[in-house]
Amino acid sequence: MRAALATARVEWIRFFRDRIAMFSTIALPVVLVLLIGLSFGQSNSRLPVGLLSENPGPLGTSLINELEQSAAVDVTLYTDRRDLYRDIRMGTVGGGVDVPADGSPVQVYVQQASSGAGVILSTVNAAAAQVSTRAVAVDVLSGDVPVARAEAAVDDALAQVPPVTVAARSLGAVNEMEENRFASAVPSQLMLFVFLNGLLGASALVQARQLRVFQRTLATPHGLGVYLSGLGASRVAIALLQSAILLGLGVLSFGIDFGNPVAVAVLVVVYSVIAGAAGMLLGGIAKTPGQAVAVAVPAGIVLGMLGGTMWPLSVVGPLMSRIGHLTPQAWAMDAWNQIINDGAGLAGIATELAVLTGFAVGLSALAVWALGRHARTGR
Amino acid sequence: MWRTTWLIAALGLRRSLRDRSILIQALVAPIVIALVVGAAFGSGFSLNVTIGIADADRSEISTQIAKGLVGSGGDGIAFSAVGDPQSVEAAVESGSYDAVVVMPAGLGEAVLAGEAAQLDVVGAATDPLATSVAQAVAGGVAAELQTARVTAVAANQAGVEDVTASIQKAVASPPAITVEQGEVDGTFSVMAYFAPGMAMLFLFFIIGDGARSIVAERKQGTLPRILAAPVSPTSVLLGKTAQVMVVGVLSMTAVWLITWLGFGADWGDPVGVFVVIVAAVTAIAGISLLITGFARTENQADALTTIVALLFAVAGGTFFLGATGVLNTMRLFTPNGLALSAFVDLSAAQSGLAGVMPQVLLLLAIGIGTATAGLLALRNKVLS
Repeated sequence: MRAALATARVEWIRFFRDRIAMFSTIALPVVLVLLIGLSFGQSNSRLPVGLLSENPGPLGTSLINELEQSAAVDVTLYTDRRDLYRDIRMGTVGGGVDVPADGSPVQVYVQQASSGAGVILSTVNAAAAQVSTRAVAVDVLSGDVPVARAEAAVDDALAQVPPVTVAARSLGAVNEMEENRFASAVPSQLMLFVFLNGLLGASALVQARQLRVFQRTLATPHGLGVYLSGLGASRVAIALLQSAILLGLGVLSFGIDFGNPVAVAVLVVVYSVIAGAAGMLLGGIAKTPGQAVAVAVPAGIVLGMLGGTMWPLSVVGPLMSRIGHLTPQAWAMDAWNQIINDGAGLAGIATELAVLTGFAVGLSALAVWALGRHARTGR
Repeated sequence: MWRTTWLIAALGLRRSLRDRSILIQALVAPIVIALVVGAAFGSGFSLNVTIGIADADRSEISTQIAKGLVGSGGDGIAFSAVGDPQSVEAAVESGSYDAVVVMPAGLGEAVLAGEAAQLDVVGAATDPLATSVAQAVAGGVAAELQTARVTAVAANQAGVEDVTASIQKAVASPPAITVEQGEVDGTFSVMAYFAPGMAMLFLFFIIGDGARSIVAERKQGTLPRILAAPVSPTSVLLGKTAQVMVVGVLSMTAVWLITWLGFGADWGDPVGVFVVIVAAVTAIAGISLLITGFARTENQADALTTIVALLFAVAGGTFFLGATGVLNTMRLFTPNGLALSAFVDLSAAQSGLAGVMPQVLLLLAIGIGTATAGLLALRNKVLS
C-alpha cells in the first residue's frame, strides 16, 4: 500500500512538471467552457433569421421593427446577399427575409434541403398583418371617402380601440440545462477533457516503457501489481482534480445546480477510472510517445463527438445515437442529464453506472494485460 | 545550393511519408472526424411544429378564425383543431401539440363590442420555440381582428354609408405586405467545414514536428556534420521549410480530394480551394518556424506548439460551426479561423478565388512574416 502511494506521489509530481499536461488539464477546459457559455448563450426560444433590406419603405420599416420584436425569430441584419445565402446554406440561420421597397413582395428564403420554411413564413405573415392594420383600414375607407378624411378617421380609431392582446404561458419547468447554458457546457467539457487527458497520459507511459521502468519493477519486492496500482491511482487522482476544478467553477462562478452530490461524486470517480485505464491501455500498446499523442488527440475528439460531449445526442438520428452508446461518454452524459435535469440520485442512474463500471473494469483489465505483457516480454 | 536544398527536402519528405503517426494525424484523423460530424448533421436544418387551435368561444368570429388557420400550415408547421378546448393543458403535456392557441369564451363578443380582448397561447417550457411561434401566429390573428375593429370605428367616424360592407372588405383584404417563398439553391456539407478545420489543427502538430527536427539534429550532432560539408546553413533551412510546406500541402490536398471525391463534400471552386490550402499551410508553417526559432529547448517548442495549436483551434472555430458572440469575432484573429472563413466562402457562399483573396493575402503575409523571423532566429541557432 505504501509503495503504491509512493508511486502515485511520484507520478503526480511528474505530471505537475509537464506544462502541456497542466494546460490541457486545467486551462483549456476552463477556456472552452467560458467560450461556449458566452458564444452559444442565447436562448433557444427564437429561430435565428437573417434580414436583408436595401431600401425599405415606411411599411417595410415597420415590418422590420415588428420582426425585431418578434418572440419567434431572432433577427440578424445582413448587408450582403452572398453572406446571407452562405449562412442559410450552412444552417447557421434558419432562413432569410428580404424586405424590398414597399409594393414588392417580401421574400422568405430557406435552404433547399431544410424543412421549417413554414415557421418563418407564418411568423413573417403574422408580422405583416400586424403592421398592416392602418394601411388596410385606410385603403378600405378611401373607396368611399377622401383619403385625408379616411386617414384622420383611422388614426382616431387606432387611438380609441383597445388592442387585441396575446398572452402566452408555459407549462412545466424549464430544466437546468436549458435555463443555464453552462449547466450543459461544464459536464460535457468535463467528460470530453477527462477522457482526452487520460489518453494523453499514455505518452509518459510509453517513455517509461522505453526506459524499461516496468521491467525494473519486476525486480523489486513489491512487483508489478503494486506499481500498476500506484500508477492507476495517480491517473485517477489527476482526473478527479480536473473534475473538482471544473465542477467547482460551475457551482461558484456560474451558479449551476448539479443536483445530488453523491450521484455526481460516484459518476465522476467511475469515469475517472475509465479515463485513467484507457490512457494506460494506450500507453501499453503505442510504439512511441509521438504515436501515443497522434492517436490520443483524434481518438479523444472522435469518441467525444460520438458520445455527445460536443453536441447532445438528442439532436442526432437514432443510428448515430446507438453508435454513440458504444462509448462511455454517451452513458456518462445520459447520467449527467438525469442528475442535473431530473434530479436523479444514485438509484436513478443505476443503469448508466452499471455500464460505466463495466467499461472501467474492462479497460483496467486490458491495461493491466497490455502493460504486464510488456513487462514480461519487453515488447 | 538548390540541389542541396532539394536533397534535404526530399530526404525529410521520405521520412515523413514513412511515419505512421503523421499518416494518422494528416489523413485519418481529419477525415474520420469530418465523417462523424457529417453523419451526425448531414440532414441539415430541420424544424417541425404542430400548433393546436382551441375554440372555447364558439362564436361566429372564432369559428371563422379557426377555419382559416386549420389546414393553412406549410413546410414544417401544421395547425389542427383541438377537440376538447377544456383540456388544452393535458393536450400540450401529452405532446399532442407543441403549443396551442386558445380563443377564450367571450372573445367574439368582446371584439364586436370594441372592448379589450385577449388570445391565449399555451406551450411547454421545454419547447420555447414552438410557444414563440404560436405566439407570433396568434399575434397575426389578433392584428386581423384589430383591423376589422379599427375599420368599423373609423367608418362610423368618417360617415361611410355601409359600415358592414367596409368591415367585410377589411377582413377579406390581404395584408398590405405580401410574402413569397424563395429558395436558396446549392447545398453545403458540414464536412467541408470540419475536414479543413481538423486538418489544420493536426497540421500544427505535424509541421511543428518537422520544424523541431532542425533543433533535434543539432543536438544529435547531425547538423554540424552536414554544415562541415560545403553546404550553407541557408540551404539546410530552406530544405526543411520546403519539406514541411510540401507535407502540409500534400496532406490537406489529400483530405480535400478524399472528402470531395470519396464522400461528396463539395469544398467549392477547386482553384480557390488549392490556393487557400497553400496560403493556410504557409501561415501554419511560418508560425511553427517562429515557435521553433524562439523556443529555448526542443521540449519548450513542443509544449508551445501544442498550446498554440489548441488555442488557435478553439478560438478559430475548429470545433463549432456557426458560433456567435465572442467566438465569432475572435476567429478572424487566428490563422486557421481566417482560412476557415475562406473555405466557407468557397463552399457555402460559392465565391471564386477573387472572393477569398483578402484572406489568402493575409495568410500569406502572416506566413512569410513569421517564417522570416523564425528562420533568422534558427539560422543564428544553427550557426552557434
